[in-house]
Amino acid sequence: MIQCPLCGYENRDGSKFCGNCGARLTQSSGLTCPMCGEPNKVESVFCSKCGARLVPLIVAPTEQAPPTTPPIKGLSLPAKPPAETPAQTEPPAQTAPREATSSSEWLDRLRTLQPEEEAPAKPASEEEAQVPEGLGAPATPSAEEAAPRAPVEAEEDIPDWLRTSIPTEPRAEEETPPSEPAPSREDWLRQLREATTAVEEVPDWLKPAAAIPATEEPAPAEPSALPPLELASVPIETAIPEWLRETAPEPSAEKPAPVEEEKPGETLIESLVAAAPPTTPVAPAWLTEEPAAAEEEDLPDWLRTPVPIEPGAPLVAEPAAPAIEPAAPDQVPAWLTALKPGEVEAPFAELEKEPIETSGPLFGLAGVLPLAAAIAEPHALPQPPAPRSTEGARAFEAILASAPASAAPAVRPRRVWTMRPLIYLLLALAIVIPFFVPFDLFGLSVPISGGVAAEEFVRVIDALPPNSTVLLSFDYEPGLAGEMDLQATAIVRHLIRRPVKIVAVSTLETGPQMARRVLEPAARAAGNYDYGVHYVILGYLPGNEAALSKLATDGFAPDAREAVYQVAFSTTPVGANVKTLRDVALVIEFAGTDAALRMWMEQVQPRANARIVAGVSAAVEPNARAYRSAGQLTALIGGLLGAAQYEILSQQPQPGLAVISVNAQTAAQLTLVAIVILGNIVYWVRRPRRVKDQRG
Amino acid sequence: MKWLATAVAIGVGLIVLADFFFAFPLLDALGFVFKEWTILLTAFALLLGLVNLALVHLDRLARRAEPGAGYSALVLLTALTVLLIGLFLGASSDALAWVFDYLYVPLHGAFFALVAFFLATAAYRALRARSIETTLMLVAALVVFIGQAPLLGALNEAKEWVLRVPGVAGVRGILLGVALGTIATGLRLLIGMDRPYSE
Repeated sequence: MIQCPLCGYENRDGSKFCGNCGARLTQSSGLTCPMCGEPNKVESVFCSKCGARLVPLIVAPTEQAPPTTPPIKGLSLPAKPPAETPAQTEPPAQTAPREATSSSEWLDRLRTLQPEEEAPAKPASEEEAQVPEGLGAPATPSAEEAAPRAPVEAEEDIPDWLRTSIPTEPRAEEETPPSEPAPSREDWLRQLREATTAVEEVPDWLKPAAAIPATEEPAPAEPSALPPLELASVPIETAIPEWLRETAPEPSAEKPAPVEEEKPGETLIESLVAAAPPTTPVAPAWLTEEPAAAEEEDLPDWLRTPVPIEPGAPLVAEPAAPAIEPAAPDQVPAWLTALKPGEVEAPFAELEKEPIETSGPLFGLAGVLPLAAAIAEPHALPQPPAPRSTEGARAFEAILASAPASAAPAVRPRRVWTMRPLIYLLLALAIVIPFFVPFDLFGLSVPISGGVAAEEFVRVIDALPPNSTVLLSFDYEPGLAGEMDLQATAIVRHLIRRPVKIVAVSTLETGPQMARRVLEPAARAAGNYDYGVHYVILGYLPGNEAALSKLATDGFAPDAREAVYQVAFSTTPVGANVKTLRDVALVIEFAGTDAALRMWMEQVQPRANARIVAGVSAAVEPNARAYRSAGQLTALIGGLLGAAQYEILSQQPQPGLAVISVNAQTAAQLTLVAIVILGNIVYWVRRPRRVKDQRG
Repeated sequence: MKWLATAVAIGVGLIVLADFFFAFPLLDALGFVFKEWTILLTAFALLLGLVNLALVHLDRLARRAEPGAGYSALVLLTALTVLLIGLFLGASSDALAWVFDYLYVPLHGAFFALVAFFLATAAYRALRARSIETTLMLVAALVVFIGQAPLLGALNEAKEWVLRVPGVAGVRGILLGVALGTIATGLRLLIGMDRPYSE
């Protein structure tokens, strides 16, 4: 159970806020990050959420002062578990409300985490005699009245953190090393008296509290009485937390003379002002400007509204200065350096303009990325533009402003002469002329020889048994008709002369029409070669690989119909005895693309073990040679030259169009060779000049 | 429902694959059915392609400001004409044969013949002896060009060697690569790594 420090309501373990009054409970069990407000463990040095340093680096008051106590780690000291400090549940007197901002929570936390064992060890009377009344409670009696007060009453009036901060004479003797060169009590008190003349230097927010005039004449102060370090020179040890009081000069243990005896009517603020060294601002600028620069709620109430001290009230003379580790300036946390005067105020003022991060690892931080602000702000030119640039800009502006007086006549771009029209013209003439002027006219008959492949093809056809059935697949587009039709026509004529029966299929939609274009003229030319009796067109086989796979494994569909009259294929004389590919003596593939030939090679030839010959276009021939060399193709002819060779080798009655087309193709190829050679000549002639230009 | 499509694809693929390697009555029957389905789907895909073509060009016609709308109208008109001829007069009618022989084939052939001119200009600019590699390619191209022409029989043997030895070697390498890629693609489909059917 966690007891609320304000109302005493017992809350469940792990509660962060009081269920009765809403006060925050977590600050009693850890340190609250001054940057993001995240509660952390007591022994934490850095915030677990934003990484801000929770422990201030301790600066030694003087280098000559040896540490009398173990090095203080920071705000977490005393590093005592929360459970061992019952004073945490007791609200300190005159502290800020619990709903104060996070910046003041760590101050409250400091008050509640003072070592418990030190306060009870002091006599109550001694505590009351040294605790300033204004810091204790508003209605604190004077020193004479408070002396006989009971210890219990004193504990109620005086907060624990003040109780522990009051140096007692025996304790000061214990903690102060004999060799410490700290100023003596008399010197310190003299400084207080002397510094009272600096009331006019008190900031405005302290002047109302310093209205009570001093009773004694001020004396010149000694600058050497205080340590040179800034943090150690803070003269308001009694009004600030202990971690700041630790930086104050250590009082002399021999003569802890009470201040109230010398200045009975002096207020706390007057004493604070008097404690400042004359050479430095009595109230440091960072302290005077703090209410304006920082948020008001950052200051606890006990510091925000100083309470006047009644005459004769005891005043804390000087706290015991614990040993402080010297810290480098760069190790001082930002929130602490922000309280320093001068150079740190401007950055913090800029940071206030920055938006506070609401998420991510930078939650609660502002101004972490100053580059963004630098980019957002317009940058002035480091120096004025050069006169030449200014003149150029003005001239460009004048050109833009002046409208064209009269539209210039459109100039036709000069036409660059290229070789392309000449190439087109030469190629066209090479293709067209042979059709009208046979080479035989000039005794330049093209000898078609070297048809080894065509000879193989012819021998395969000649070896077919009469009246056997041959399957022809017309797998080329109409665009290749000029090349493939000649092949197919020569082969079909040869087949008709055998005679063999022909079944035509196609894996392309246009295939049946291509088959018709070849078969009908050839059959018509043969005379006694009839459709349905000697040849039939089965049409298009949809499904590509699936169709050919099915054809190879299952044969022709029983309900397949021929494409011209839509008669059942099985009822025709051609299809009566043809059920599968085993009933076909030869498969002739006319492939215009490599994909079509590959389908037959992959799906049909291995499965049906069919004999396949192919007539392919010149573009497919290099790929088809691989199947021919592997034995998957029994024979192969390619291109227009293959068709012409086949026409001649098959001893057809009269040469067909393939031989004439080969003449045109030969002329076109020779022209192309000439064009390529011309291109290389031009290239090598222009090359030295081009290289020279590139080097130049 | 992607898991269902994946399961169906993997199951059918495994059955067809097993049917390719094993002769088993049940596998043969299942393989036959699946092939039939594939053929039917392919035929419907052709029909869908026709519908898609019509929709695309109709949409272009609806937006008359778009350039090429006139060509879309011509495409639709021609397709409709051929379709009506085929439907009413038959695929083997003389009218459709005339359209095919005297319109489709010449136009297609002429369009394809333009490639020869483009190749000629490309050969003029590309086949230049800029380096050792381009010189080798230039020599090989000239050998095949001239050897393809029966006018010079001396280079015919050289052309045959170029096509038979280095040409076939290169083609075999390509075919082997295609085969390995096909196997890898098939395995990825069979184990569900690639699911083009569910995208």
